[in-house]
Amino acid sequence: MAVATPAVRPAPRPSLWTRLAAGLAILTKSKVAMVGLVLVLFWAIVATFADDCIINTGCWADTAKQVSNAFQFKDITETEGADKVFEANPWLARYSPFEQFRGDNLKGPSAKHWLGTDRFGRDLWARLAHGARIILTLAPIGVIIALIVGGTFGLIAGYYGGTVDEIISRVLDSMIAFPQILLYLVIIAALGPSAVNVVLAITIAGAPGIARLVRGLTLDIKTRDYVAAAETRGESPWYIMFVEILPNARGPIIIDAMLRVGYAVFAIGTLGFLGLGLPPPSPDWGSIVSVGRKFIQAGHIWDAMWGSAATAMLVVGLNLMADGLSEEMQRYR
Amino acid sequence: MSKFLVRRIIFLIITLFIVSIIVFAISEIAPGNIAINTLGNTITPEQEASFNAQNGLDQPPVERYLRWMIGSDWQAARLIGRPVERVYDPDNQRLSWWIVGEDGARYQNSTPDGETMYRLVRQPDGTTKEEVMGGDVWKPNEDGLMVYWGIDPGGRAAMWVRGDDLMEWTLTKATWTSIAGAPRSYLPLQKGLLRGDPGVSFQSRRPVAETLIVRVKNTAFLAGLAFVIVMPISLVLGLIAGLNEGKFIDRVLSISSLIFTATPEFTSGVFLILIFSTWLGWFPGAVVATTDTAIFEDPKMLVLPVMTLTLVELGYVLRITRASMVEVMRTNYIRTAVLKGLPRFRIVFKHALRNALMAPITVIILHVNWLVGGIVIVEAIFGFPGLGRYVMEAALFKDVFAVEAAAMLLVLIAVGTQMAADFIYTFINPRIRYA
Repeated sequence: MAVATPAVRPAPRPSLWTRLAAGLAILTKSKVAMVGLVLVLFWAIVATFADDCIINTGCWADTAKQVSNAFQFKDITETEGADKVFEANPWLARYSPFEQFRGDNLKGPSAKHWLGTDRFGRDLWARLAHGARIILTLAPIGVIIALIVGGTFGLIAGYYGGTVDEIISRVLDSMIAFPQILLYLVIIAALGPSAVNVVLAITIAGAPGIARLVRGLTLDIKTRDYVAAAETRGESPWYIMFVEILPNARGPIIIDAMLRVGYAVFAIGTLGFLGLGLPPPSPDWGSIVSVGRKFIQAGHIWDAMWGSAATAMLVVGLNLMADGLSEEMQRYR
Repeated sequence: MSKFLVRRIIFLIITLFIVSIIVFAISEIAPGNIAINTLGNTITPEQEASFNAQNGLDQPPVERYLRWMIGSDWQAARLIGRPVERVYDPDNQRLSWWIVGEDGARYQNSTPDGETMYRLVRQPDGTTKEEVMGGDVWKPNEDGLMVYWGIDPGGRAAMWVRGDDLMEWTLTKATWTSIAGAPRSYLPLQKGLLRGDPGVSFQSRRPVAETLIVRVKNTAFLAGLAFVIVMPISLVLGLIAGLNEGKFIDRVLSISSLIFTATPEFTSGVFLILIFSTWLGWFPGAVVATTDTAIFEDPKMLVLPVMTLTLVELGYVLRITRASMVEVMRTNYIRTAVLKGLPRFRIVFKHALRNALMAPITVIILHVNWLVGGIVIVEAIFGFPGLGRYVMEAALFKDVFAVEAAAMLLVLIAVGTQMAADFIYTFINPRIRYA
């Protein structure tokens, strides 16, 4: 006897784009999140189109060289004149962040220099624009690596349980007990300030929190039927952890990661301010503020003011976005 | 309850133990050379080797970790065969170590040529008197060498070998000097963290504990002041926001608190300096502490640091209080009270308030951890002589004992408050079961 095929076939899974659009629709529903999005997009666009780097092949080669230098723990300034690195033509930034205008140092805003100049006569707007590029690259990279490391440990601890869980949890608790700033200080002070070390510090500081979150989610998802089914099929633990459990835990992880990008920007700014960020002459926002702070008494407030404003704007934008998003998602739950 | 207490305390100890290993590993094993940091980068390899030997930096990490934790004076006393004693000189803020002789004299040792051993007997006025020791002080060790274990004038246990002609490099105030008759190996003396001695700072040569106490006092004062100001304001504003959920005043309070909390301390600090110091000229933009008590004498200097901390902390507590109040106002017993026709202020003050404040109180205590982060930055901005700036300067200088001590202290505060929060929570909320 033939079994009648069901007349209604299950609806095909919506494509990636539809799902992404649905996610963005949530974002547009919240006014707070929209304000945040505008603030962040402003800096994202400025960072992307600061110069013609995205169409300039010479610039790609330079970037690749910089990245490989960074991974060999070489200082940019040692290997090459740092002002030679950017041979790109400025677009939104208007000038190179390293170009020194003679006689124009420590000037206030004018038509020539929109936000003024710093003590070496470098255009502040150009430096902020290029600083946005640094901060908006390093923060997500740090968070992604922290997600990979922390997620793996969290999955292992949650899935295996028992002694493994106990050991991992103890170590995680100890790392979380550290005030974050102390962790950054000790790591950067030990390894020296550089882009790679900043990312490393963000990873080490962020991974324990992510691991704890993923562990909690894993403990819950582990008891579901589909995990039991996979175990019965004889799938390997790694397959179950990464293919069965991880995708089903993605919601809270994504919200958490968004908040963490905000923290990472916060942290990179703070490190720069403490002199532990990228070494000069990098247009690091935090170091623009910390250098500019010394000229406040002399009446030149612009470095400190614009640097602070830019950092505050980006961090607040990211936080508003994450906050609005999680509020909207709670409403749907 | 007592079982819960014991369990938590055991966990606390385990956590601190792991933290101590992490702190030690990061600050001592990581690349970066303590000798170069302390002495400058013009030192010769011999000077560097001599410095490392004198400070025990050439020994294996496990040995150094144990010395940091449980000290080395008992080990030295066994090697020397006499008890050793630590003397603190409050005028110079220096520590020195002495052997307690059979005749009750306190002495150190030196030898000009590896043959004649002198003992430098400490006089009541702090000076030393040289006395020649007999040739019978040299004792054979297991390698068949004639050795003498004593304490050198630098305050380290040291092993001299008879007939040795070694040199040792020391950096005095003016210049490098090379001294003949150096010991063959050293054992730096320390009481150990567990016995209350976190070591001596490489930077200032002062005992870390003495400096730390002053700094902790200053920071506790700053944090306490901020705490006293933040708490009432944020609780009241949070309650107002929570009671007016969704209304204009709630939206203004919630969003501005989010903005204040999200803004990094260094940017809010700079803005406050710009507004109140540069523009209005009301308060000084930096803390200039010439003496230990300066910060208590000129309260105007503290306004901006406290204000920065307040801004950052305010938003966080406000949001928690608001959320808690909103939740409580939606519960059935509040609805019952409303339906009974009770006046609104009675509902709020008699019924809602107690439950609404439960969550914020524990969160506030847990928040100490974050406050610490804020304090480091605020102290850096305003040049406040507190614990945070001490940690920062020590970390930048790679002053390992100072970093380690301050880090352990901060972690102890963080973990301790966490435990306190747990207890207070079980206390004010009897429904909680001890796990």
